[in-house]
Amino acid sequence: MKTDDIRWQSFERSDLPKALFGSARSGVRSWHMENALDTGHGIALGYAEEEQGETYSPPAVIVLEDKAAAETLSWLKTFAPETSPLSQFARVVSRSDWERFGAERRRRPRTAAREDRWACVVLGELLAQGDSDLEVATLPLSWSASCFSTAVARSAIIHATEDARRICVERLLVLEKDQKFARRHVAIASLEPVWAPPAASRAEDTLAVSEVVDLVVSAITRAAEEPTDLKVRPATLFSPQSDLMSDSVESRVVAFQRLTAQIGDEVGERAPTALEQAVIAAGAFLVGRGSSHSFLLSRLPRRWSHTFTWFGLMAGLAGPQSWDGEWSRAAKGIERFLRGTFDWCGVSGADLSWPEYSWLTSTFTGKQVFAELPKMLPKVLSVEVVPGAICQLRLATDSPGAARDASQRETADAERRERELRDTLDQVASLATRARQLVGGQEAQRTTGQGSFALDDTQERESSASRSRRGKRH
Amino acid sequence: MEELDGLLCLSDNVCICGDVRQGIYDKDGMTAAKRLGLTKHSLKTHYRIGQKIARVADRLIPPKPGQPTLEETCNYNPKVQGESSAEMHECDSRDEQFERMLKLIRVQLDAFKDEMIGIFCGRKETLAELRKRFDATDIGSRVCVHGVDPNASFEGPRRIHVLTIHSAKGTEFRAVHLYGAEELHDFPMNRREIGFTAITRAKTALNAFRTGETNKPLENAFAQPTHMNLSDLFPKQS
Repeated sequence: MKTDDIRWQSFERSDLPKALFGSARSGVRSWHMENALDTGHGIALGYAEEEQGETYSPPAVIVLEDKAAAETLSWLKTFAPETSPLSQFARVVSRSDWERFGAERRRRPRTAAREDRWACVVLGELLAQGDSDLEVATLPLSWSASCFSTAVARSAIIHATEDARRICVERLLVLEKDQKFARRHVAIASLEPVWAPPAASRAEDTLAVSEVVDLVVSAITRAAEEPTDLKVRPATLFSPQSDLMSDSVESRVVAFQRLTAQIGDEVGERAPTALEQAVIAAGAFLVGRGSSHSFLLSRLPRRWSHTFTWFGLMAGLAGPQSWDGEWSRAAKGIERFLRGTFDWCGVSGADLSWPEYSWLTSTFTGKQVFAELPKMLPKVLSVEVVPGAICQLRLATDSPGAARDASQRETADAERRERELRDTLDQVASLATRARQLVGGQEAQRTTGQGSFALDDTQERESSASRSRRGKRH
Repeated sequence: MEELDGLLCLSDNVCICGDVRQGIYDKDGMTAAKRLGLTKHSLKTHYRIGQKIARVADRLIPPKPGQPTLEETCNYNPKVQGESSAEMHECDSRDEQFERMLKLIRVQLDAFKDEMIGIFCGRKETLAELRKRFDATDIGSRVCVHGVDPNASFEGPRRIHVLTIHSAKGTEFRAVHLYGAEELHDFPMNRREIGFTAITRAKTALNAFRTGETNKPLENAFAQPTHMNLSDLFPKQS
């Protein structure tokens, strides 16, 4: 749907909750979102023209004035808590995002973005972020929704501007720093160099496997801030005389084993550099002359997981002719998610839109703020980073130390409650004793020879029997 | 013949494939096709066997005069399927044979992803020996020894299959190892057809291991050209 086909309405604040629930009769109609924002005190509700019903007409998109967003969201949460989070009602966008991604899109030059290249980058990240025993053939593709690369790919594909990609990355960095979410193995800083080539490459470019390896490794070598002291020279490694270029697969495997041993010795216990990771990834890519031998990377220690992202980039740039069956199936499966068309009035699958996420995190502290939100998946929050580009984030669980503290707190609470209960029972027992003494004294005065106030079992039974006998007599 | 007659009653199209050089049971099954009056088609090219392996097979049983060699009719693409190799390893002991074979298998498991590796031996007793040897390694669970393991099958996740040469007929493997080639030294195991059958099961990698002598035709088939100088021709008398 074109943005011109959206009809706007503004409402008095008191009518806003009703409007959000689908009663749109009382609003001031407008052709322009800007006018609706002005009359709506910072919030404009957009309706898909052809979907407006007589009795039920929920908004399709909600635009918030940037400066008024916090105040509007706070008011709704306080005075109409049933409308919070607003993102559950429709896509929520800030005015600046609307102008940036809605109107400006038409004026800016579009960059080509091949979805299959991005799919390989996402697949690479998926393997890197996951456990080491993940296999391409059995990878749950829905996990790709949690990859940073997916959000970047979607923003590049939908909005097709460098600006959109930059903003998406900036926002992902904010999410990455948010301690309410679980940390990931591969950081955005190390993914950024991987995202640049798919965004910059031309759709018609097709490169041979060896050309891709040369391109990627040379680019990293040039981009390295510090001169590399890698003893293994990439130029030698990937020369036509190298065993990695041999026509014998066995020779290439042996050459790869030598390469990993050599670089592994050089790296020792420190974190490997981007170049070292890319060289190892290139070695595995050359063994299979394509994607077939990605499993060689899964045997490396966890700190080498970034090799998968370089491997994914190489597979993306080399194209489908370099993919084996398993990689093809996984990449095309992921590509389906990336290709989905974007409609401003379409349903957003995110739990939170970016303006609402920003407001919640700047207003509330602690993990509880996300725990209480309605979510598509338990323990996972999805945020629409830029319109149409969603990133799923796993909520952080307590650290082992925190869990231990919580357990100790619970134990202490239980002990305290037990102590209080014991004290109360002691008091009851003491009162009962006192009562027995008092009643016993009075009875002794009244009936000479009668036993004491029956509190023990035997006496209670006798007392009951006596009451029962009395009952029968009645 | 009776089986073929039965099959012909059930179906109009029956295909009988054969190769005289693989007749290890000394029977010519192709005569049955003649007697039944079936149309004969001769394949002009093959795709399975790599050039170097085809060369070894051709040396062991050369084609009839005027007929093309296996190497000449080979359409195997080394750029796509991988450069082929064929080598015979002379070892001091069976232990060394196994160690060298194991080292190669470890590389092949990575090189030939998802493809099967065949290990052939001459005698049935060697199957049990190999089962024991593999059980002592970390890849024992990935090995299926046909004729020893209960429910041995080519189905399932096990990629390494151990068979006698006789039971290997009709199979094909990306890599073949001929273990204990010294078992092919004497009759009847020294018949060329037996060696030929084992060799032509391999697609890309063929390795034979021997401790002591195997039969001469097989040894010569694997022989590699080496540089020769005068001292080799006229060794110094001590």
